[in-house]
Amino acid sequence: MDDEKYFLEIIRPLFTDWSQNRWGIEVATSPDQALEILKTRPIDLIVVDVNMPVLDGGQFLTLLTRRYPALKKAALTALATEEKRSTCLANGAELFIEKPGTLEGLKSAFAMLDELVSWKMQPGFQGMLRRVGLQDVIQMECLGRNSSILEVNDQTVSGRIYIQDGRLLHAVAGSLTGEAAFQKLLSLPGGAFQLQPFAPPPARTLDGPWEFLLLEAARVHDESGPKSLEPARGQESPPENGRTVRLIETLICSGQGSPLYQWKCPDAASRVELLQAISHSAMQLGQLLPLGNFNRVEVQCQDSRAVARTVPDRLIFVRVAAENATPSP
Amino acid sequence: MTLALDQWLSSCARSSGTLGCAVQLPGQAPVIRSFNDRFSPASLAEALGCLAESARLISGHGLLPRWFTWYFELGQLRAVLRADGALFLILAQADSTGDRSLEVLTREFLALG
Repeated sequence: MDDEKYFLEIIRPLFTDWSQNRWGIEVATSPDQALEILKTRPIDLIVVDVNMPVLDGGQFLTLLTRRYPALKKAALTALATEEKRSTCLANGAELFIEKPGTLEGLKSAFAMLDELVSWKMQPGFQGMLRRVGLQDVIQMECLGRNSSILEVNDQTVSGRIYIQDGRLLHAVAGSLTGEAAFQKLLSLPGGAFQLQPFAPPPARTLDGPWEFLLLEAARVHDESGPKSLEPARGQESPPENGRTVRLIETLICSGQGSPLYQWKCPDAASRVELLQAISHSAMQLGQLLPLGNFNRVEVQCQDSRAVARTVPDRLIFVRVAAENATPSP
Repeated sequence: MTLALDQWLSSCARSSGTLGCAVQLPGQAPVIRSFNDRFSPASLAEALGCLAESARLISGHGLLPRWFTWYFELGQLRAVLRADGALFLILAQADSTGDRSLEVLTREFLALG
């Protein structure tokens, strides 16, 4: 992907030739075009020009890493700096190459890209939390109804989350178990994780829909900041910074709006209507502004706070009583 | 639009992580400020209309929002509603600098009322 069309016109036949027709090359002059290509056919490697108008290559790499974690990525730039290099590698590029100005340089770049495209993914799964969210991995495992053990480590704690047939069974983090352990692991600002084959857990300490457990962990993390590793016990958390948090209602629906789980929801039909309208508005906003995928909307009211999350196969609404109706810096 | 509000709106650009903002006072034309070329004033104006509609919708379902925030992969969009009917839109980066700007500008906008 490069906004300089002439560069693409030079590269395409040369690289096809040098690869002895092993490579099928698609070209795009904008992120939109590149995303369209990625949607319609399997691609092994994308080479992104860093200096692009509208959405620069660094940001585009972030988007690609989130949407296509298995896609290999290389960044190309005419003006290579250490800052650009760090940004591109941090945003998911496996290679950072200075745009060659000579035929020899192009051959050398081709050799590096050919090497990259021939790399085989190792069995299993490994990643950094800053690149792929732990929450994303858990969602993928649960939506795929997979069974695995997710091992999570950072400098301060090691933990495990047991998932069987897409259900969260058990979590342990240091001396913590259950929801407290789950929330602690999800609140980590960075670290490494690995998916291991499933083995039965020593105990079952997690119960309830995985969506709720994830939302609750996100809520505890959001409300109490990075230091909040306090466990949630039942429906009420212990005071944090002088505040208490009380669950008011929960609703989880299928993507079509059929309630799957509800707790103290006064009018499920009305909530489903609200969730569907939020989903529609999110789509509208996403079309107006280049902000990537929608995650959730949080509503701060005088006496409560609501979180609505809409994904293709789930609509989720959680409302908690909130004492924090004034923004704090 | 008072001069103080207009000046404050322009000063929002100084809040790190802020990509754009807009204010809609009751009965007046919206005032838009874009601080990033990727977000045109026209698209921010449309987003403001969409948020105004969302505010009505959320209120109609028994939730009376003081503000609500849409979290996207690459940014966050907050609508703040003031008791006098003024609506404030802030578009910020999806990171900790954006988070801080949202909180600071929300507090300032509410205090201006």
